[in-house]
Amino acid sequence: MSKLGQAKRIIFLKTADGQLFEVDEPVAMEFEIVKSFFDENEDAADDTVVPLPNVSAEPLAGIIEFCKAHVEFRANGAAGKDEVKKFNAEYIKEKSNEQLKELILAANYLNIKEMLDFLTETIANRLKNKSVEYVRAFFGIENDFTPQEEEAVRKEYEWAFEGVDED
Amino acid sequence: MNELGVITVLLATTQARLTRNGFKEILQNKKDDAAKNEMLNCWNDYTVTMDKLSAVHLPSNQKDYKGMIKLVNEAVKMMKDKKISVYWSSDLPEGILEMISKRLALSDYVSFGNVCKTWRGIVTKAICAKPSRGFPWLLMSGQYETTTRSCFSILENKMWFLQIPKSYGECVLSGGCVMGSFEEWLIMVKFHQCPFKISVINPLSGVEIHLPPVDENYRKLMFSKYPGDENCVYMLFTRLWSKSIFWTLGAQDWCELGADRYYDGISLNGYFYLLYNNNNIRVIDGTNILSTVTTELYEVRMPHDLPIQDDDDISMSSRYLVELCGEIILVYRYLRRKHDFHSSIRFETYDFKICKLDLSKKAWVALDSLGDYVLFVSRNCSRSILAKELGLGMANCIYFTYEYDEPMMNEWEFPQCREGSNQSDWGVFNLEKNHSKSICPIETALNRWPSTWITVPLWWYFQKKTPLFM
Repeated sequence: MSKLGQAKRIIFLKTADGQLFEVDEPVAMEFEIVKSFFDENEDAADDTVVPLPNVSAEPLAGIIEFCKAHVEFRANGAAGKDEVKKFNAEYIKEKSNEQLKELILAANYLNIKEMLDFLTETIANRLKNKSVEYVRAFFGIENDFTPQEEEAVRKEYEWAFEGVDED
Repeated sequence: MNELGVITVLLATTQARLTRNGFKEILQNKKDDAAKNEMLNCWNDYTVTMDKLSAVHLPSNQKDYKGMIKLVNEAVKMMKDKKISVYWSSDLPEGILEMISKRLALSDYVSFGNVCKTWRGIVTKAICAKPSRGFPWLLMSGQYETTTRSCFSILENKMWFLQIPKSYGECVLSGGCVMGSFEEWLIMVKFHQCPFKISVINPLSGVEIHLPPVDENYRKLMFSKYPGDENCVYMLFTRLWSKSIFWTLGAQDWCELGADRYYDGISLNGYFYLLYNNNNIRVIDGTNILSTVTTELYEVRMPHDLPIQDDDDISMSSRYLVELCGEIILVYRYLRRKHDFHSSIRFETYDFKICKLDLSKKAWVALDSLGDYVLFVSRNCSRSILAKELGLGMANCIYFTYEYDEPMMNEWEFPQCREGSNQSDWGVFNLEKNHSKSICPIETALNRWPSTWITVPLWWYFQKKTPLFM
C-alpha cells in the first residue's frame, strides 16, 4: 500500500514496444490480467512494472482512455445512462477498422469484459445489413469456398424471387 | 539497372494512384458510414503507400539501389497487406469472432457464415447449440390444386416457394391441408377420409411423422420435444369433442388423458401446461407419461383489470399461450365487428393484453410490455423472438395472422373459407403505441387467405441441399 495513505496508487505498465504507462490503480484493475498479476503477487512493490508483451502503446492508450472514462461513470452513478452512450459513440467514431482491430486484440489480451462487449457490439453494428462480399472486404478475408460450393449457395438463392405473379 | 528500377517504381506508383483514385470514387458514392469508413481506411493506406513510393525517387536519383529496393519492397508489402484495409481473420481469436457473431441479427448472421470456411464452422457450431433460431416466414395459403406454397419472409422482405409432398397438397379434395405449424414443421391433415390422418412433416428436411388416425379433426397439437425425437410426446386436443389424447413414437395408438376440456396448451421443459376456459392451468409431467400420468391443477387468478368479454355478434377474443424467456405468457387478442357492409370483413383485431403465469402465487400477472421481445401468435403454435435477433429495430410487439371468425378454428384452406373471403386481419400490433399496422407484403389475392407462421431454421440457410420436395 502507498506510504502516503491518501495518495492514489499508480500502476506501471510496460508495452511490447517498450513504452511505460502510469495508470491510476482503479483503471488498471479494470484489466483482468493486471488485477490477477497483483492478486498473485501480493507483496509486489509499488513501483513494480507489469509487462504487457502482447500490447503496444497505441491501443493501450486508447484502452486506458476508455476504461478511465467508464470508471468515472461508475463512480458518478452514470453507468448505463445517455452520457455513457454518448461517450462510447464519440470514442468509436474516429476509430478506423485497423484501430478497432488493434483495440479488440489488446482488450482481449488484457481481458476487459466491458470493453470487449462494447467493441464486438460496434463491429456487429458495422456489419448490419451488409452483403457477404462486404463482410469479406471489411475483414479482409479471402473467399475459400470452392466454385462448386459457391454455386450451391447461388443455386439455393435462386428459389428466392421478388414479388409474386398476379393471381 | 537504374532504368529498370525507375520503371518499377513508376509502375508501382501508377498502380497505387489508380487504386487510390478508385477508392476515392467509391468513397464519394457510398452513403452508409461503415462503408465510408472502410473506403477511407483504404484511401489512407494508399496515400501512405504512395508517399513511400515517391520517396523512392530520391534514392534512385542518387543511385542508392539498396535503399531504393528496400523502399520499393516496403511499399509493395504495404500495398499487399493493405489491399483491403486490414486482415482480421488470421489473428482474431475464435472467441472474439463468436462474440461478434452472437450480436448479429439473423440476416447478418447468414452473411457472416458465408464469408469463409472457418466462419462457417463457428456458425455451424452455434447453430447446433441453439437449433431453434430461425427466420419467421408467413406461410400463405396454397393456390388451388397445387403443391407449392408461397411464403413471405418478413426479415428478408421476399417470397419463397415451399413445396409440399404431392400426397398432401395435390388437391384440396383428395389430398391434405396445412392446418398448423410448429417451428419449421407443418401439420397436415387429410380430413376427407374418416378417420382423419394427421402428419407432421418437415418440408426442409423431408422427415414425415404419421400420427395414429383420429376420429375427428384436431384443434391443437403440442410437442414435448422436437418432433421426431424418440421421446417426444404428442399431445392433441380434438376439435369437436375436445378430447385430450397423447401419443409417442412406437406406441400403437393414442392414450386418453381425461375428460377435461382445455382451451389451449403449451409444452415447456417436458411439462404440458393446459389452459382451461376459465384460465386455470393443469400441469402434466410429460417425461414419463406412458407409465404414469402425473398432473396437478392450479386455480389461477386473473388480473382485475383484464377485459374478459364473451364472444358475441360485435366482439370476441382469442387466447394464445406463448413461452417467453422460460415463462408462460397468456396473450389475449380482442376483435370487434367491423361496420363496413361493403366489405366482407367481419371482425378485426383492435387490442392485445398480456399476462404472465406465476404458479407460486397462483396468478396471471398483467404485463405492460414484452421488453425486448416480439411475439408471433399463430395457429397451433406461437413463439417469442428477441427483437435484436430479428434486426427489426422494433420490440414489444405482436405479429398476428388472420384467423377466421371462429377463434377456435385452427383450420385453413377449407374451400368454403376461400370462397368470397376477403379477410386481411393480420399485421403487427405495437403494445407501446397500442395500434397495429398491416404487414401485408404484396397486394394479391394471396393475402386474402389465412396464413400461419413458420420458423425456418438457420441451418437451412447454410445447407446446400435443396429445400424443396421435388
